Amino acid sequence: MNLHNQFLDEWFVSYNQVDNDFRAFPFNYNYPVKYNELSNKLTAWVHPFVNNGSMLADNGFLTDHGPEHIKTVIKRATQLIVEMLPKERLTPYEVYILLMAIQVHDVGNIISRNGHEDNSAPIVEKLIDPLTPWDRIEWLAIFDIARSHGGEDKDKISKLPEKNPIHGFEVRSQLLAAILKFADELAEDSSRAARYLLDHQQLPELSVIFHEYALSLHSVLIKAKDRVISMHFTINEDLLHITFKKEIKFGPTKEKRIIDQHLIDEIYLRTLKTHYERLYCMRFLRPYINIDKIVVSINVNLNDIRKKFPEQNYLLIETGINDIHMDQIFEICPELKEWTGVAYSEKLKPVQ
Amino acid sequence: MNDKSRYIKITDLPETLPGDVDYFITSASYENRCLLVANEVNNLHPKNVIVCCNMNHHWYNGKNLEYLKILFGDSFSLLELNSKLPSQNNDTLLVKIISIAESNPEHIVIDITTFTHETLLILFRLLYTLLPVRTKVSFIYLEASDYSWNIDNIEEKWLSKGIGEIRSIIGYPGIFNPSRNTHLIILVGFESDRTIKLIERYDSTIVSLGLGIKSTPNPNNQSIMDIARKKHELLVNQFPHVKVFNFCLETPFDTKESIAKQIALYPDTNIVIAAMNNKISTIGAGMLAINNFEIQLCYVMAYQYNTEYYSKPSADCCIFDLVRSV
Amino acid sequence: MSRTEAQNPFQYQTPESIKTDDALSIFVDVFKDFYHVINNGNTFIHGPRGSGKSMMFRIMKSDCQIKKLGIGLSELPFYAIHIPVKDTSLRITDIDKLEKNYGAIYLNEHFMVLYFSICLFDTLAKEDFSRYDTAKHEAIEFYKNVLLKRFKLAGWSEYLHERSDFTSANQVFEEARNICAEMQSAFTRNFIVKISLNPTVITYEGPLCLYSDFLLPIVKEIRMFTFIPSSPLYFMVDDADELNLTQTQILNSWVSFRSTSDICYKVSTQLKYKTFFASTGSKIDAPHDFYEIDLTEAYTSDHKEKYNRNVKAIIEKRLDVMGGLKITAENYFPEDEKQAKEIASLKSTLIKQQKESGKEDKAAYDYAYRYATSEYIKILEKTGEGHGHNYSYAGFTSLVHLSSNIIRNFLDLASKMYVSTYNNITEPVEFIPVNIQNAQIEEYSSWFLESNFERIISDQRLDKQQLTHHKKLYNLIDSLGQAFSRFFKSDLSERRMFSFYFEDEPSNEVECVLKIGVSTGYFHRSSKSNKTGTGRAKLYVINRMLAPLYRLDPVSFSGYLFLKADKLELAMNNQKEFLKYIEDRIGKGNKEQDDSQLKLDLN
Repeated sequence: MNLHNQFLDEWFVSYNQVDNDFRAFPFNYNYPVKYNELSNKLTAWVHPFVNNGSMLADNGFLTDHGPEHIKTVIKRATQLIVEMLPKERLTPYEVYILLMAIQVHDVGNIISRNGHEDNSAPIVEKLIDPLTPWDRIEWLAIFDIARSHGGEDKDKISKLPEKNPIHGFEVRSQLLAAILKFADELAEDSSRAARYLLDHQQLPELSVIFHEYALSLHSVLIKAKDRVISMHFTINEDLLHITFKKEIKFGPTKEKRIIDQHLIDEIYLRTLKTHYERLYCMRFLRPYINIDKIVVSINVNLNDIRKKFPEQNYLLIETGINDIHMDQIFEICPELKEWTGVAYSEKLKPVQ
Repeated sequence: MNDKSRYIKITDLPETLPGDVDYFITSASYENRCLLVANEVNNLHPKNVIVCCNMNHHWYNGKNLEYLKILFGDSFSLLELNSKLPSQNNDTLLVKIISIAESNPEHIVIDITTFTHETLLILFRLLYTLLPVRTKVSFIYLEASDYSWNIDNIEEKWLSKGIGEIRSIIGYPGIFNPSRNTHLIILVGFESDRTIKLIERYDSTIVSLGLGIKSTPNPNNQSIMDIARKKHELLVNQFPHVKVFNFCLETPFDTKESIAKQIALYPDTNIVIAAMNNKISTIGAGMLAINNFEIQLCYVMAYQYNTEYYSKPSADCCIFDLVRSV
Repeated sequence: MSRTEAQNPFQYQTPESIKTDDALSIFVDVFKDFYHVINNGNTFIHGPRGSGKSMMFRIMKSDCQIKKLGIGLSELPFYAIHIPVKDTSLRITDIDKLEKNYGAIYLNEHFMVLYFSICLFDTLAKEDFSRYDTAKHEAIEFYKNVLLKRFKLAGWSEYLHERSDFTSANQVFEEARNICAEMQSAFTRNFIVKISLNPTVITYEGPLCLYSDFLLPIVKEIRMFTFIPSSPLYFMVDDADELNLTQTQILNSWVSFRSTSDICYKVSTQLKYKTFFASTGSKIDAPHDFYEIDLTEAYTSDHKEKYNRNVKAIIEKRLDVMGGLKITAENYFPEDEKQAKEIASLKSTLIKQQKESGKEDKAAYDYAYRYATSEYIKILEKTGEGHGHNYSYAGFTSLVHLSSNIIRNFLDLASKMYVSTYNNITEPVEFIPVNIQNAQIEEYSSWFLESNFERIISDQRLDKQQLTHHKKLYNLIDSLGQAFSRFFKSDLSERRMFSFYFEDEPSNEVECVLKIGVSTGYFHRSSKSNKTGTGRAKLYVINRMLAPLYRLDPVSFSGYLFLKADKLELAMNNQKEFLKYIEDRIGKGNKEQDDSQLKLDLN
């Protein structure tokens, strides 16, 4: 697969359309055409309505999950895989699976944000050409990959098959799921923000901070060869003097609370999330794709444009551990909370 | 025996088989019985000869394979099989039978004598399902006059030792509903040790042991029948909970009926049939299972086979045709 | 109990078919030795056929637990579902064709999930919910709000006919079971049987029930029922070796998901489990993914007494409940008194001789204990006195050892002895005479080996091409048996051996043969500390049922025969040379020569 400076979907749609040689796909079927038809339908009839559907169901206002977001995720995915070694590159069939998974991963938001990753199937099923065999195995693989990008279970990818044989073609499901998940994480930039509504203060109060975050993130650069991702933020000074309302889930009971959050703090939290997503996805991306660190830069546009404020840079990378706290082990192994030192002693005491 | 199958002398085979033979299919085995039918069919100058051979046992089968190759000359073709790879064998046979079917043959003759039970059932299913209806298929089975012929003492005769893998035969998967009891039906042959181990391995609540019988006594193999009867009795004594029934060794159509009757006695069970007697009765089991997909046919591999002294051929062979039910 | 009323107390019954009361009456509580089996968490239980795994599972089922603990269904400490995997129930050959061509993982998983679901719903359908007034209502709500939804999501909607006429919770579960059975049937009929008739790939358009989308969510909902224990469900997968490789990997994935708050897997194997890798690519390991119990390991030399104790309890219970006899196991299977006296007398003689040669009391007694039996057997062979050449293996203790930690071996042998005794007398069977014990032991020991192997002529060097692994296994067993016999009849201080060990890496072929030996029950695998004390060496103990064949004493042995891997190959391929090597070694006082020292490369 040589992308020739094309994005993944551009490359795929034109794959072998001159030779008409589709032996790289099951049943010798023209998968690029199949993908093109489905993605056109989704672009025309589904993606534009994802945000509206979610708004109606949940009263929220998501950052963009429509056609532009899909394009951005594809772009990020392309940037992640471009430096893969030739013998390890995605096969054409894997590219199809990945692209379809990207296309459908947020479609379930039409029904509801909650559990949206599970809701895509009934919607997509209605778009399938009845003359094309509805191959459940293939679609299951696509949905499994798509679903693993979100949801309550944070470790869905490890439950996927590492190598999934489908119609005689091996699909690296875990790898594809990790590409989608990480690409989706990195697709949260200013293009997603509802700029107009934000400027005119027409967004729901609890959604504003998410859009401000997205708006401030003007560039995400993936340098796969250098194994680094850089995230560049620019914030107007005025935004630093105020706080935004944010809903959080607090404590072990996940009680909903509304707090006042500075945008900078939100940036720290969100970039930390990106760092943890990187750590998690690297489990499945290695050895094919290696990203070792995230570099974050924050610039402030001062009200007085003649002045400059120093750029804030920080590096998110795994380091050695200085301090170990009990809380850390319980985060990784929650089942151990019942087996603290005190608990052991209690349980081993002879019965009176 | 009925008019659907008959016994003749092996030397009368060429006169008995009608018309030309488009395809002759046989199996090269360590048993010399695989050569006798071939010798007679060769007199009919079959247009195509397909010899199946388990190449993983080439050490045992090679000599007879070579004989058949020389015997049939230019019309010989080898179909390489492997007794450890049934799925691959199915694919190999499938491709071959499809190509045979496409040539619209009129008459195919198959010597079923020395095929393994498993390969025979796979072949039978493919022939049954894929061949044009008008193609006549004649099955030939050559009787044995003695088994384990180097040993006189009945108690010590053996054909195989130990029990290795038990597997379902491809094409006859059956349905295993775990909420139901399993009815294990064994068409008992010579190998009581293998039968005992099979009963123990399945641990079924219902076990039916079939005793093979012949309606026409044949002095040439009466001793074999006596051995089989005695072994069957010992098994029944060892496992008092088993049910017993008789099945026919001379025509597969009657075998099929006998098994069906036994099955009907215990409805709503998972059915597993192990055909461990002669190939005629094995075909009978196949005929029943092919139209009843809930029946599973299983194959029991042994550790060792008595390749040197397995059997002596008799002069009698049985012929019957493939009959496809509408 | 009269002769006609008494049953054969040792007759084998399939655990699944044993009624509740019968199961409880003959079961001896082994869970105190294996508490991980009944505690929360995933557990693998390894043991050869007949070591009691299925019986443990039988007792864990709700009917036995309710009766045993005297509590209601919802109060049980766990709710166990038995999932028997027979040889060809899930591992059907047609599915092998999926491996390269189809969605092997999804389709195998679908097949397994349906199978497991049928077991789950069948178990529930047969429960007694009469004490629980809300059971019907809860079950119907479950059917409407959970089950139908899951079937539809799996793609079965077009065949679903929503019912509304349930009169009990049992009917709901029966319906669920029947729907799963229909799906299983449709899968076989519409897809499985067609795979082998098509040379090319065919698409699958049927429903797919997977673990995370179907089974696990259903189990989570079932656990919410008020009439089911609130603890996790136990899925007791019996004989998991009978799964194919992909199915094994799928099961391992389920174990790796650590959903033990909802489902705990209790997996029994016969030491032939194919892999511990999961389809996710990771490997499951003890102890963090599961606890592991080897039933034969648990009863090795350090814990022999536990097995002895358990067998005695099992036998005496059976004699009481099924035979109507209140008698000790030792009295029911008496030893040969004459032989016992002769050995005791020989011991006294040996003690006296040792003391006269200057040994301390303790050393003298130790010597006598160690060597009395072997000296006795040597006398029997030379003089032909007493019982001719035949050493008697009769007696309960001897039989326990012969059974090699596999309770079913004991029961099988005892059953044959009972039948033989019954046929020889006209009164009720009140004990097994020594001569019948001896005759049956001889026959059983011989059959144990001969039924699986053709006896190879010992001086025939077998051509490599003719040798199969099984022939090599036979050679190995026979070579070792004869080797141990030579040691036993020698004058060496260390002469009682029943096991061998090696430290170097064996060839693939040797490994394969040993693996077959373990899975067929001829060897039991363990480990011991190596000669340098820096690690563990692989130890193989021969099944003691072979002791009578080679005139070995199964009761007392403690030595191990150290062998290099190449000597194992020799034992497999050339028995004559191997035995010559053993005789040389015995002649040199069992000092094995370390050939590797001669090959030191100074360059």
